[in-house]
Amino acid sequence: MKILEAKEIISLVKERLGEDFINGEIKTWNAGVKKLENKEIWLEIKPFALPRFVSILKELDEYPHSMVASAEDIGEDIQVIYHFAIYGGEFSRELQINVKVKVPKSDPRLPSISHLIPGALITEQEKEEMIGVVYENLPERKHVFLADDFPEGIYPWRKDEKGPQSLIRKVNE
Amino acid sequence: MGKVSYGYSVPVGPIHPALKEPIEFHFEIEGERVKDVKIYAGHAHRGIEWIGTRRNPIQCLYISERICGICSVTHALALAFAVEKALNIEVPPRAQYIRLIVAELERIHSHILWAGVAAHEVGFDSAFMLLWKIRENVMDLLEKITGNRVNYAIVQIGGVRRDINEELRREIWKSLDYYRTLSERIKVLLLEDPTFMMRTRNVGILSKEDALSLCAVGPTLRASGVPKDIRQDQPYIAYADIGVKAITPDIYTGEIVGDVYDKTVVRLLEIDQSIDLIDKALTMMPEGDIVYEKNLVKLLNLIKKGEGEGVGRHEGPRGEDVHYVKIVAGSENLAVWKIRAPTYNNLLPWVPMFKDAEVADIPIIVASTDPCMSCLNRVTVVYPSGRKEILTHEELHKMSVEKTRRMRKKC
Repeated sequence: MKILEAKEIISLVKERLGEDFINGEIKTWNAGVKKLENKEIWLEIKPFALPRFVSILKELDEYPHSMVASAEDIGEDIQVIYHFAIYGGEFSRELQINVKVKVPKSDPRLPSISHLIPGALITEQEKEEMIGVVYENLPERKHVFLADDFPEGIYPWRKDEKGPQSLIRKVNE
Repeated sequence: MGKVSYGYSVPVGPIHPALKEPIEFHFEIEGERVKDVKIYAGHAHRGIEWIGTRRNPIQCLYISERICGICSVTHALALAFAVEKALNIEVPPRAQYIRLIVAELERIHSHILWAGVAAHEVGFDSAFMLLWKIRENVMDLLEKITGNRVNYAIVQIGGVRRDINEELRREIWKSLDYYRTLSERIKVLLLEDPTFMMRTRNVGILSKEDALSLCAVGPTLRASGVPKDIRQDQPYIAYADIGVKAITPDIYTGEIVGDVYDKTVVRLLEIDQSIDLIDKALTMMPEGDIVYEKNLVKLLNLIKKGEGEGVGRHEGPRGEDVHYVKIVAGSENLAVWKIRAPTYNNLLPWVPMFKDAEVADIPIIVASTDPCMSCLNRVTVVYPSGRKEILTHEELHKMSVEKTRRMRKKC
């Protein structure tokens, strides 16, 4: 396993993704009295380049760790941020990589990465039920955090969402 | 060949009166063997992330402590860390050491609690009671340091709320000595007990490949032989000064199996590691401030003016805990708050662990990842004829105890 610097990783991603790469930056933070420096990479890419990006990660580290994906409703679009970590296992070697993708709310399709990192399945299922991102080629579709009878088409994390009115009425009856 | 149909299915869960996070398992059983499992989480989604977006980060700290009673400082630290990264707040060195001490004390209490639960699940109740009695000492110590036995409320954005004085230092050292003398005996009590070994060796095996590809975290991952630990990989707070090495079971046993026994080994060795870390932190702790900004109004103003996003990670007793926050200028509330508790990533690794396990091993395998629940209250066994029989948590536990008795008789 060849260990690349944060800067080198950004230029590698930029080179491989070409037009699908939007921007990338490095953030640093210190810890302890010795001010040990840790680095984080923040990237933004086009949504359909996501599996290609994960393949690059898999070249850098055989098993990239998928922490979670966070999602936000930003008006017209939905922004999903995947948090990955690579190079773990040695003191102060791990590199955290956060990848942002934006999909329009009217057509929130994203390619699934769970065939590349099986551990990302639950977080993708959560995004589907909570914010209504539609994952293509998701191996299994099911509710993880919402009840099975939760109405279709209602996504609790969307800011314009008013909630499942039918369920609320039932509670008050 | 068509699809193989298994004997019958056993739904386990979702609700037990004593648990905070119910979960539901659907086991496919053939004879006594588990062939497949489906997991349904989130029966009590409390919408904490949504609540958080209507409050400022200081208020959110106290909500985050209530996500889980056992790892309270874990969530508070991860959130504080995320906010500090988003706003570039620098935590004073002394506060970093105090955070480490409280986090490691919490690890000691959580691991001893887990060891007690594991002993109970295999019917070793005398060990369970003894271990929980031993745990009281660290709970009392946490009360002396923070004022509370659980939900310590010690973390503040940019530091901690209480200092450790000379008297407390002596108390902590006394407590560390107590655990040092006991740690060897706890190891003998569990790891060298023939019955405990029989019940946990080769049970609930998680291979290294599965652990890595399914993104397992914490002792569940390390027991499979992967030396990953955020304290080591991306050192934060005082871990950067002291240095940590991830613990794998081969240090003690010389081999890696990835079963429940190995998970016990990792947790018990981590108790020793925590004792050493606290000891070093107490010696190396520098003098100085304990918080970046004492005045809460000034701190809130700073948050209101600031803007940014940050990811806070903390290695809790159960594994990596991740909080993502986004703060926008002009509002002191969090714009986005995403919480990922360790159990979330340990849901999928359960599937290979359950494969080919016996029904009586379900309690110990569920407990082996140290999930935030004990969800085995209602088990409905559906026989092929359609007859249903409901097993309670006690009955399932009884099955586990009976298996221990049977095995004891055999040897």
